Amino acid sequence: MISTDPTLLHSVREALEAKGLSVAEAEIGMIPQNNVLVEGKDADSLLKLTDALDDDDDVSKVFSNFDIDPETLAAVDG
Amino acid sequence: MAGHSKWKQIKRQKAVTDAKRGVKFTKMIKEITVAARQGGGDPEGNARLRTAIETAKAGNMPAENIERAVKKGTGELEGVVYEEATYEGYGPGGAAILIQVVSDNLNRSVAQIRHLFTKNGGNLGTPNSVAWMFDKRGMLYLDAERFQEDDVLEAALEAGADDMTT
Repeated sequence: MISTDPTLLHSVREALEAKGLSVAEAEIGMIPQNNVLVEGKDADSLLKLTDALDDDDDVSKVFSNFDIDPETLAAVDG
Repeated sequence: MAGHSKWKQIKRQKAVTDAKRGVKFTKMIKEITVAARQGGGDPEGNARLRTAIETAKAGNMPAENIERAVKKGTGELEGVVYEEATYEGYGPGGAAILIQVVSDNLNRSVAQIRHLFTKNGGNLGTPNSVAWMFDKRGMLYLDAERFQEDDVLEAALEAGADDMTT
């Protein structure tokens, strides 16, 4: 993932694609300044919550500052 | 910084959205409509609309659907009027959550969101209770298998990008 100033999103995309580096996806989003480590049961219910929010028809985007270790993530994702 | 798993988090969030292309389609149309209503129907002069259209094209949305969504936004075609809002709160474990909503009925949306927070052990907060913890950024994703990391980084920095995570 490449991060840019929001106003440069399009020009960076064009510059990359001019060099044959095709961009799979581009968006303006909110990036957390710091992450919060979430573990155990909390991680499980937190992911349930963010997934449920993301599923809601009225919700366009969900951003969070969670940091969940890869093993817990893998366990939840099955 | 917790860089070790940052990409995993992002990747997971991507996977969740990719798995729901159907829902995504409706959401893309809403985004185009709102962007066109806010900044006009010409993508050249409306960065948000341009990004929304590019995303819709990448998701294989037919050109006529895109055009119709733009016209609904500008008012050339009649359609539902969407409003935008951001809601904020804390999830289990103290994680901050920021939710961007596009809806024809914000009262309904906020009730749904509040219900989801209550059901899953979180708290819906007041405006700006968590938004200050986030920065608004442009994000570009490339397939790491297809390109050399150095090539991408060099081209990105040259074009004015700030950072790259793999």
